[in-house]
Amino acid sequence: MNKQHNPNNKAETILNDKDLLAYLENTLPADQQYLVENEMNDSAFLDEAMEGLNQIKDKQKIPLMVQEINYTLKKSMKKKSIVQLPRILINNQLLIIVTTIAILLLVSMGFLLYKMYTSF
Amino acid sequence: MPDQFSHLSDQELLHLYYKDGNNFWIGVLLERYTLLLLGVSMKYLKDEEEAKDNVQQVNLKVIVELRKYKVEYFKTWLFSVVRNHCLMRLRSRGKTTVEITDRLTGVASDDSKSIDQHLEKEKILQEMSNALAGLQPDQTKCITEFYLNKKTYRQIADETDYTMMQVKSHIQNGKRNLKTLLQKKISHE
Repeated sequence: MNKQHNPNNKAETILNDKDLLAYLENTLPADQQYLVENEMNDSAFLDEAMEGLNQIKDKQKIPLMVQEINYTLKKSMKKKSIVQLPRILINNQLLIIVTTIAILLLVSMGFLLYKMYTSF
Repeated sequence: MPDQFSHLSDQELLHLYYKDGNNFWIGVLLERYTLLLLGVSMKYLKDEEEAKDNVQQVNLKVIVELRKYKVEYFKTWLFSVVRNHCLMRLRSRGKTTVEITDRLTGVASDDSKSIDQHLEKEKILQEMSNALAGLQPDQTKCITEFYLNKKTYRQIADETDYTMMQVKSHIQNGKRNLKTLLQKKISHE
């Protein structure tokens, strides 16, 4: 069993997606099946997830579904970071533009008032 | 993303996120749990497309919520987020009949060992064999085969008349009953 990453166990020693999918397809050896089941007994998250995944008839579809979700996640992360980073800049730029327009309006109003008074 | 971060624990990734506020770390974390999120969503929603959509919504919710709250145990927190989101969807669909389990009522947390932590190990072992006899025979049989003889659900099902689902249910119910019996005994002492 792959021991690289394990979100399904506090000790982070066993179980990865590949093993879980193999379990669902009943292709894991008995000793590893036992490890998955033992973990399912201790983790409600894993247990409920396995119950749900078991309801997907075509198990081969599962990795594709996961890929699709991850792809969308990445896309939304990219969008978010693009929006997030320049937010301060955008806010500052907006402030500068509004201030400039306000100053220009005041100056032109002042100029108009001056013209009106001097023409009388 | 990133097998390159497999050496980092969930807590370390969370720590990195709280340190620099970069959503990238949440992405790495969430990808670890996509399969489980999909499974839980399927369990409640019973529809593949809806389950996929639910996971995507949960992902977005996590990104927003993590900004607001400091989460200590990501996995446990994520489990409650996805389950609540599923229940919310079911309610809005008008389907409120969901199997009531200990987990939904909050009796058991993700790692249902929490009650055991308060019990002394030696006492449990001493009382265990007595308590096992107090269970229903099918529960005793399945628990003994699973925990003591390390047999898989399938192996137990093959040796008995039970289906795999029944084996699982006998183990879970037996485990819960065993806890209750042990707690009663210990509290009487």
